[in-house]
Amino acid sequence: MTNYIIRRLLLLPVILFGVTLLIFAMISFLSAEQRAALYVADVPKKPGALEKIIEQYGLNDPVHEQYGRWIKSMADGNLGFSKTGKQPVAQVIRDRIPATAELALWSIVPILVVGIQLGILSALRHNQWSDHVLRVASIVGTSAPTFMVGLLLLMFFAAYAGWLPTGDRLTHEMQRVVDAPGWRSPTGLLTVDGLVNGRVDVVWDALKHLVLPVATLSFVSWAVMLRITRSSMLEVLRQEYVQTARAKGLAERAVIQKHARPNAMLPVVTVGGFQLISLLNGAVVTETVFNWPGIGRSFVQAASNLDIITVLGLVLFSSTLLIVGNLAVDVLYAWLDPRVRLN
Amino acid sequence: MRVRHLTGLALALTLLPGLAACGGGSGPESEEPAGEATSADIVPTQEEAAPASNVPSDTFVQVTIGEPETLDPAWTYETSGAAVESNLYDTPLYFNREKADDYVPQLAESWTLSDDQKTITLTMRKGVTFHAGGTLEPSDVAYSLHRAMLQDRVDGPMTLFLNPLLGTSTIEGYAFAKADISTDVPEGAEAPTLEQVPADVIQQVCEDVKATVVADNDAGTVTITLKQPTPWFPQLLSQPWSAVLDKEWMIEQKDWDDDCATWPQWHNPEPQESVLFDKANGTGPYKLGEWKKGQEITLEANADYWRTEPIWEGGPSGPAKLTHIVIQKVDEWGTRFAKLTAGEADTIVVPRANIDQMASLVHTEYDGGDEGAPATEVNPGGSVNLFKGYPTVAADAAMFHFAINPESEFIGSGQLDGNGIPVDFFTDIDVRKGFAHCFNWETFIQDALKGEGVQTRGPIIQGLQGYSDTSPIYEYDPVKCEASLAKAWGGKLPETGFTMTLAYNQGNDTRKTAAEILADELAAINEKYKIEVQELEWATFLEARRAQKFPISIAGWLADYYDASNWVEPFMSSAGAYARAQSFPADMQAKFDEKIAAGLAETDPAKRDAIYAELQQMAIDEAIDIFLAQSTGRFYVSRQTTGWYNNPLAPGLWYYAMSKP
Repeated sequence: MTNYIIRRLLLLPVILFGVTLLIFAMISFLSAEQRAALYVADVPKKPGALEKIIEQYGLNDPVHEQYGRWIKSMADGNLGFSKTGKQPVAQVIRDRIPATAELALWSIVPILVVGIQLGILSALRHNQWSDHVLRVASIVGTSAPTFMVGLLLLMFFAAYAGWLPTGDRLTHEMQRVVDAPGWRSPTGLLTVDGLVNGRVDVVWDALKHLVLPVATLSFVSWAVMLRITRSSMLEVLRQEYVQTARAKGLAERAVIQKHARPNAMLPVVTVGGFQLISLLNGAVVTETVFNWPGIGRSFVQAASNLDIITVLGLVLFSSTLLIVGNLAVDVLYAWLDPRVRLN
Repeated sequence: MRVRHLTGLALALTLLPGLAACGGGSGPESEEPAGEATSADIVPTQEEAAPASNVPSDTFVQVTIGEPETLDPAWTYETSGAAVESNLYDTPLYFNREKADDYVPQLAESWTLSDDQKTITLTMRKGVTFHAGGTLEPSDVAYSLHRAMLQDRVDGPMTLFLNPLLGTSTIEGYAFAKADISTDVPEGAEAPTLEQVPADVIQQVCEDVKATVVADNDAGTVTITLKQPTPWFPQLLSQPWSAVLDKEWMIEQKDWDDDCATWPQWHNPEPQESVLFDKANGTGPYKLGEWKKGQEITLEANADYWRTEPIWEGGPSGPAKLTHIVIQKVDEWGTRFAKLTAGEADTIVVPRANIDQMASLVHTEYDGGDEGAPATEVNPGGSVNLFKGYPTVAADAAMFHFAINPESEFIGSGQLDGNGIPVDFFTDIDVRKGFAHCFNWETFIQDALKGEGVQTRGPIIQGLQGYSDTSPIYEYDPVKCEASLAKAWGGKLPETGFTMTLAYNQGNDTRKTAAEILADELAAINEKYKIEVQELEWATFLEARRAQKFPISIAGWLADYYDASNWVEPFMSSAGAYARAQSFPADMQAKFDEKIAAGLAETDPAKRDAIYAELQQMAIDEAIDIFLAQSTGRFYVSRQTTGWYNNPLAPGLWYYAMSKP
């Protein structure tokens, strides 16, 4: 296991190097003025200002030197200046990631719990009416556009029924509490920070604001988990060792829980891991519909405004997250399945 | 709590196709369409209290589109920023409620105009403090105006002051003229820069600026000397460009040090270069809470606000009644609508195309610009009141750019090869006329403005000198459109076709509709005539336009002051906020500038009228823009809110006058 992790860790910088090369190649296609945004907020409208910046930051130097300088700049936490965010890209990510993380972490729970449980149920009731209903429901879930689901939930439960807030992370009163001096924010996750600060009202308010975006994300994602779990479970249930367990006279409950389910979970771990990583990269539509100040909205704003430096900064962030997340999933997979690490 | 599932379902479904974008505004450069919804003044009826709102009574939530480029009042020349600044800063004078040509003293406790109408003397109020604790002095007023004029960013508002005070459109132009540096440079040569201006001239320019606004701290006065009588100058002293800054605080923050030798360092900055980019220290009724970029701006009432007497009879005094202001940026119409429906917002930007969806929320309709207007209760269960039909001084236009920046990402290949357009595409008048004839005003006014607008007949709007109901205009005529375009570019267009991108500001559905109408009509003439429509965030849109990257830009203008000169200047002058970026050919521009200068110098009303009528005609003859429409105002606000009124020159809501019971 240790050897496996070391091997994967050694691959990590190689993959990251490839990603940075690709992103830098894209940056190289930009004009000098656009590339200047990697180092300065604005090119002053003074004569010779651009030339001065080009010289100061070596924007016309050989490509490998520029790459080295860019990597060093990134290592110092500088991803360039975001025109749409009106602040450094790194700051945009720092400001936005807590909202996205909170939404992702709360969403993954129902996605996994509901998706896996219903997937197992569907497999166990193979070709019975409940299986058919769940299969149809999963098709509806996977094909329902997020914006439609989000908007319908928004209109029914927030705008007309008034049971839940329409969007944002907190009400304005609670936001003032959080923005006030003295508020401790160790995680940026309001449901956690609220507890740290002893403000249950903030936690409650944050939870209410999470319900609709979490429901939207869950609705369109649980179906994927259901389908993966169902097919994996069906495959395992056909395996000989399951038949053997049944032949030995083990109770069906024990067969399912001890022999079938753990093995059926292997592909589920992979898909679940990627679902989480995908959510952490920002839920573009859900964040837009619910005015959620996360990474996804920044991505949309930057892309629709041709703010390429911000887009590339966010792509780098997403790629890094994906690579590290992928590693974590692989390690978890290897830990669960000895065949992987032995190979 | 009203549960209306069926209505909700119907409404939700109708919202789906329009989820992508919507819009609203006006102002110098207006992010919202002319006359779009803004604010109101409503009293719930005695017999029925307003439905419960989720916004506390000490808070006002405005959900809008776009956000400021900066909060520096000398830099700002668009409505999102000016609206915020008008609440943070006081000015020497202020509009007398809804009247655009009558003023009340604000930071000046009195003011006089000399007999020759060239000298304005302000007697400044004593005992006023800035948010950061400094004390207001007359020298602060002088410093603020000097700094603003010397800063004079490109396409900024300072031409409004430089013209009447120094007889120049730009401070650079003034410096070059003083230094005998020609600005008439051959094509391809570099334009002159301030670095070429000798130090003694730099010094002299600043001293000339300082001589126009002189403070006497001992006497408590500020004297402003105009080059020529300028009837609208008090309007400028009532707008955020005259915001008074604390000189000492500004110098502490490393802004201009008031030294005449150093001002070029602070001249024409980028928005982020100003210390006031996202900071504010005014004397206004609100302090800046926080600007969360891309999300919201919060303002907090200034508990030490100096005003003890009502600003006008029955007007507000003391600290602001609404103590918390939240200005949220929400680009999606569906989300904005949900917020208002749920009582989480007091007002939202409503694109004219969406007014049918708003009908069920309206309790009372006021046919005018304040609560004194004739009112009709339309829905006892409604949660908002609607003010409509009030006049506006704003209009939209689609502007042709004659020399597009070759770096533009909106012109495809940059060639006349069907995949793009050349940078000088619109120098051919047949192209411009063809485009103008292809715009369907009737569809635009019906679809985008719901019939609440009229076609504008040039840059000058109704009610101003130079405007005539019978002046010639372009009419929608596909045959003429096709014929004009067939003639253009040596007859090559029908064969080659063209592709370009037409941008509008994000959330502004009215402008989006205008762009789509033009694109559809052109495509109907010839499928090779391709216009792609793209939304851009407000600040990005403004920046791209300044950089001359657009082939066509659709934007609106809200008057700075009520005079025809304020309409020909932006749309036609070489220093105009719009025209400069359009880069009209030199001979055309010279004719415009000459006539604009004549209009400014003329005092005889009949002669002025003739000059402005001529300018109106020139704009049509040259087809510099497709002049779209002027509409009446429409504003929705929660029933709990009282105190709104419409001043046509105001850039946005003045929260100080508003309250909730």
